[in-house]
Amino acid sequence: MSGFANVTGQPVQGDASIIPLSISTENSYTTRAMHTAFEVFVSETRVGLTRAISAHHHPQLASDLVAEAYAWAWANWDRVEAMRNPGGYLFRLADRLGTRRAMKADREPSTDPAMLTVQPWFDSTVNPDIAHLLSGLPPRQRAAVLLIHAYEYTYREAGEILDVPVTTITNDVIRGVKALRLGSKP
Amino acid sequence: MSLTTPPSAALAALRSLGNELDEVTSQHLFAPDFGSDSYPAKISTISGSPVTATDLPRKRRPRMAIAASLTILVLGVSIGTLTLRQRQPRYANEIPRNPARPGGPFAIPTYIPKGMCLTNNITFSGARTQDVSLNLLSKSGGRIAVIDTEYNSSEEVGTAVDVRGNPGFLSADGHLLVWKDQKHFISMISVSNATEQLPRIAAGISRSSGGKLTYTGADFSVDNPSSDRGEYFEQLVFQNCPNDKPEPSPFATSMLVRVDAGGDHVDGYRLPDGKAVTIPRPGEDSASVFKERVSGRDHYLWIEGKSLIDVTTRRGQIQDIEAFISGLKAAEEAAVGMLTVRSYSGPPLPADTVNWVPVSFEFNGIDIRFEWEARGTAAELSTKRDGYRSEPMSNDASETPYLRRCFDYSPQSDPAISCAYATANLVRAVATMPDGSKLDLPLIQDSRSRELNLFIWARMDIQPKPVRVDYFDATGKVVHTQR
Repeated sequence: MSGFANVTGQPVQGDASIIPLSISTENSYTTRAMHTAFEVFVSETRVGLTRAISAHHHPQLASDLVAEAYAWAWANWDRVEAMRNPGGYLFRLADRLGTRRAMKADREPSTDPAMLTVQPWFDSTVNPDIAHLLSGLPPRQRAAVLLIHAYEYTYREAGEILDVPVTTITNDVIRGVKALRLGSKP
Repeated sequence: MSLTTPPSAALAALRSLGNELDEVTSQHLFAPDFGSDSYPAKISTISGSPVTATDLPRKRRPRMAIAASLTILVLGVSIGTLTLRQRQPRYANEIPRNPARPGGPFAIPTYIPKGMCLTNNITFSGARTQDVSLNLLSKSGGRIAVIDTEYNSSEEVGTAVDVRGNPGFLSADGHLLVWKDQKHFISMISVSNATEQLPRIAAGISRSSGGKLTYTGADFSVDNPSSDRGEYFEQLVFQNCPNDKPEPSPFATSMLVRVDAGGDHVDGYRLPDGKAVTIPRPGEDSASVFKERVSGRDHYLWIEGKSLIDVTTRRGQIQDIEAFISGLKAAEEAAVGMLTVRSYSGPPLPADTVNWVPVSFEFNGIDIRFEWEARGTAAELSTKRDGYRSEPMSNDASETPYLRRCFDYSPQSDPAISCAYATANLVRAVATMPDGSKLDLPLIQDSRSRELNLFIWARMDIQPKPVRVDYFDATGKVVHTQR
């Protein structure tokens, strides 16, 4: 029974939620560095990427799409690391995955919850009105409005997340807010 | 609410929506909902989307066609050639191989995986001075991945490699583990050190795992060839399949605890100044809160009324319960010894397991009951994973709940059996004092630990002074009492 609760056992150092992953294979130094770099990359981009994808596609799919993108990035880390805006690239990758899934859902109508790509974009229980209005926007405008006004990113940050120029973000926000105002008029 | 309202209100609504979106996305890490259908049938319909070469975005082109044309005209063929050389790979075999990476070449799956919503939960324990190794196996015997945790005096080191030796990447928050080669079907693993002794690994078999095959929970098992290095538990369990809406609890059940004997234990409490803790006995009246450090951990001891509760704030509910039970020990130190509660989820406990004790127990006249709220639907609880039981659990409270049936089986009789097909939230813990008064025990919530596995086992280091064993039906009514 020694394997059970051993309260007097060794205390965990630091945050108990983290188990450092050490690669005990060949080239461990290189792998560690790669691991660290990727970990930093994920920590820096994950929130913004997930938010942007959840604005483009059904929020319930966002984490999955982002995970797909990260899985690809990990497998191609050399290539991704050298990119000018790797986070933006992954956004476009995840966006494409979501679009592809939506196209497939259109071709093959299904009750499958994995195919949550049909309108409305998001059925909010807390803010149904604003969610309904946002559902009517093109995805890019919706993402721009949410990133700027809901999440309070700067225009530059939003541009990096969505991998578009700042001017594009500005235009999308202006048009998006304008459309929301028009849509909200009785 | 519309945007024609004052800007502050509109912005507030947008931000509220943002928070809601964050909440939704955080709850859907793995895969979509099962709905109310049974798991195997449902899982076969889920179709995911892995990354393929055609998904890869190209290098961004100029937005305006005129600009693109001018660029081509001005820069000519040379730039075009350069662009082609810098384009993203279109086919898997174009991905350069990197001999510096262990595991050798890899390939991007060329087709979309079938989705799955099963979370393969593996909980294992071993003394922290021991290494633990897990092999994830398919039911056909093929090894999928190996997860190792190694222990040294200063840190715990985990290694995860797939069958080809490809290392996995584990994010700092322990929630994302991806393997380079997604063909090996496990692309996300959540590793959390739930307790000091029980690293908890939840292998999410996501839709990003490649392959045309459809996997169900029955396709996976866990093998631990290194059982001599520590005991382990295994489990194949539904884990909060996304979209599982909070539903009325199909049953309000209680916790299962196991009482065992032997092993290490916390031997009482002592204040930093060396003074021993005076334990209020039933009938005594005191109220105070103080922090004590026991075995390198901070315990928050809460003394109120006639009982002493030890609540650690380290991490969520599991530790809370553990600490709480530890506190019971303090309340009973002279006669009983410590009762340690750990999270347990999964198949039967090892062969040396004795004395299953359900959720209600009694110590020196203090009756403790835990109320649990099962998550997910009844259909999810009635997984056909092991083929051992196919009957669904009924929502009808008049029927014997699924959990009760689990109790009927000997843990040793069928290693495939698992009662822990669902997770549950601990919603309340109530102590009833000998005089009939009730005391709500404090439970510290931790947003990172929204779920708690259905079963909790416990151990008594000294011969317990058990304990009344109550068995409940679905309504919470005691149907059988064993003394």
